[in-house]
Amino acid sequence: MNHLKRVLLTAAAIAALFIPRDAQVIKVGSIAPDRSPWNDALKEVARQWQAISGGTVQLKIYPGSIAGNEEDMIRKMRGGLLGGAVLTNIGLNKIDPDVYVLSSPLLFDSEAELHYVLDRIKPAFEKQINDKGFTIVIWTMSGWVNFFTKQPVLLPEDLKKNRISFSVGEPEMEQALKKMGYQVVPNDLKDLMMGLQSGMVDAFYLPPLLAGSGQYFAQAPHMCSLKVAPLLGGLVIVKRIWEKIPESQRLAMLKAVDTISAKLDRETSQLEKEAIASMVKHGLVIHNPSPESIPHWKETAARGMDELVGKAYSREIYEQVYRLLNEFRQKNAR
Amino acid sequence: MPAPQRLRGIAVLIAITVLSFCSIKKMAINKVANILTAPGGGKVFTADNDPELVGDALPFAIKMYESLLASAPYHRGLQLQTGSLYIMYANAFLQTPAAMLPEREYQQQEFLLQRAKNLYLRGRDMLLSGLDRRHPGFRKALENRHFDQACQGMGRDEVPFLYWSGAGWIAAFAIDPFDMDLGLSLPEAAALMERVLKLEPTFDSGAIHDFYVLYYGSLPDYMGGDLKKAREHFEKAISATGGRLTSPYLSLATTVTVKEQNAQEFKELLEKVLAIDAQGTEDNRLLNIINQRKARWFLDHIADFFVDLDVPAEEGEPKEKSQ
Repeated sequence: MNHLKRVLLTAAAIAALFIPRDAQVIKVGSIAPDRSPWNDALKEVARQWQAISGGTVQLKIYPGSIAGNEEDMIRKMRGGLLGGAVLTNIGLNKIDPDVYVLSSPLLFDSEAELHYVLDRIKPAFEKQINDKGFTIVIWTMSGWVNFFTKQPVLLPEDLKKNRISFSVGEPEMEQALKKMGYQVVPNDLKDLMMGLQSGMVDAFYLPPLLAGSGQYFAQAPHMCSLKVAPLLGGLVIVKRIWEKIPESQRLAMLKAVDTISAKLDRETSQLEKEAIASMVKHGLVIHNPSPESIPHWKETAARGMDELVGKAYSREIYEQVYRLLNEFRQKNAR
Repeated sequence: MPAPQRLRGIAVLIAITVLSFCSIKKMAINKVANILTAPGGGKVFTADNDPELVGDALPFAIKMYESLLASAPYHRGLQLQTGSLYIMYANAFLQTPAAMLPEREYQQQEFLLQRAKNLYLRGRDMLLSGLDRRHPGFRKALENRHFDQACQGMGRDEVPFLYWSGAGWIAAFAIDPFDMDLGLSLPEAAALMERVLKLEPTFDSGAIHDFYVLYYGSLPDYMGGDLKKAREHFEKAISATGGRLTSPYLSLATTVTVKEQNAQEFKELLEKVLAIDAQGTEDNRLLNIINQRKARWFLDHIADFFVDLDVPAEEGEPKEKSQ
């Protein structure tokens, strides 16, 4: 019996050598469903951070909105129930409204423009988010938002004939779209299918991945190829939790997420292409507005900017983004 | 007998022998197939109380059924047995153990899940092809989303084919929800399950209601998820089984209560799963035993599903409270 006790105690002592004595578990909520590329990337972050920290930093992930919607998750982070969350631009906007500038309709013409601006403006956003008590450790790009309609759309006038379903909870954007001359119907995403079937709405704007996975395109099978706005997001950690991690580890952890984030961008871009190809096989028709119509689209969008600048986000951040955009366009015009 | 006549006689004899042999072979195959697929034959597996034994035996049994099916492609019982066993095997012996692997074994988990997806779709295709043989034009009509036309003329005898093909299809999608081609075909799978509900709502002790608990309980609301409907089907499943089957309790616990973040109900439902006498329910003994293993695992890992509960750090207690 004594021998057995000794063996067990020795085993326990050996096991204790491998236990990280100051391990902290960071609970992270996410709206991304399990087995999605975003959740797979988050799991990879968890594995790499655990390895870098020698097991002292452990992420516990709650995917698929188990921890609630984005507002719920922000509240839970503030209340200490969550240590982090994966948010989209809607959630990031709740922490720092200035981030919403990146969602302005037809602001960016290409991914290159977006990356040029984002790379330069990120530090300002990160500081502002930091001042609100959070640290953003990854920025993610989840594709672009497009218009899907029941009838072909090539010009703003075509779109104005449609009643566009619009997510509730973004009042400034709703007003901006109205000022641009569009008919907007506030509608929850879960009611979109019913709205399309009943004829309450006849257009929506979503990323192709969601238009496909929700089968909405079957009811509005015309996609305008114009990229309306990027769908950005990020992993946010409560600042005081992040700062408890030794700085040397934090640097290595940020380096790891950069690599994971770059891989995720490639994957989501590929998925978006696959989603569009699959929808085309199932009846989606893509319409490309002519290059001559683009200035007209932009002029129409500009009419609504008064509702956003100085209301949804600060004039200062808008001017900064606009200056960077012009800088990029001038460099590339040469 | 002149030579040409003799040759003709030999040829006829050979033909008769060959035809008889083919016919005898066909009869023998049909006889074996009938025995193997006779009602109650499946109990050899479902009434077993040793999941490991069944898990080891099933691959051989499935391949045997499949080789018989290659010789008797029109044999209805073989089509059903082979297709449905692929789906059952994928669920019980690939997806279930994969879900219970620790995070550090993610590569093995992914390997098992990809195998499960492959076998779900293999089983589905066998069953759909059986339906198409008996109802020509079924698959085409299904693909074109003419669901009423696809299922026209199908009676209760086709319910097991419809159920297992729909179940395999949706299970494959659940493993890979970003396989866009598979996702876009989901309404076809849903149509098959709706037909089961219409034709025989009490099929297999309310299995269709149990399916709908998982279906409405797991899908995001923008894709048709509906927790109220899931609970309604749960009540119907319980009423169909008299509360003697573990599946409805497990299905409700792992979907609806997690979404509602109701840890108390989660525990109560899983405790009900464990309280059922698994050995005493012959028809579903194997299923109940596997479900009880899952229930224990879920109870052991409850903090993985409920944000409010404290999470212990791996390999030891954290000094600080998790947040």
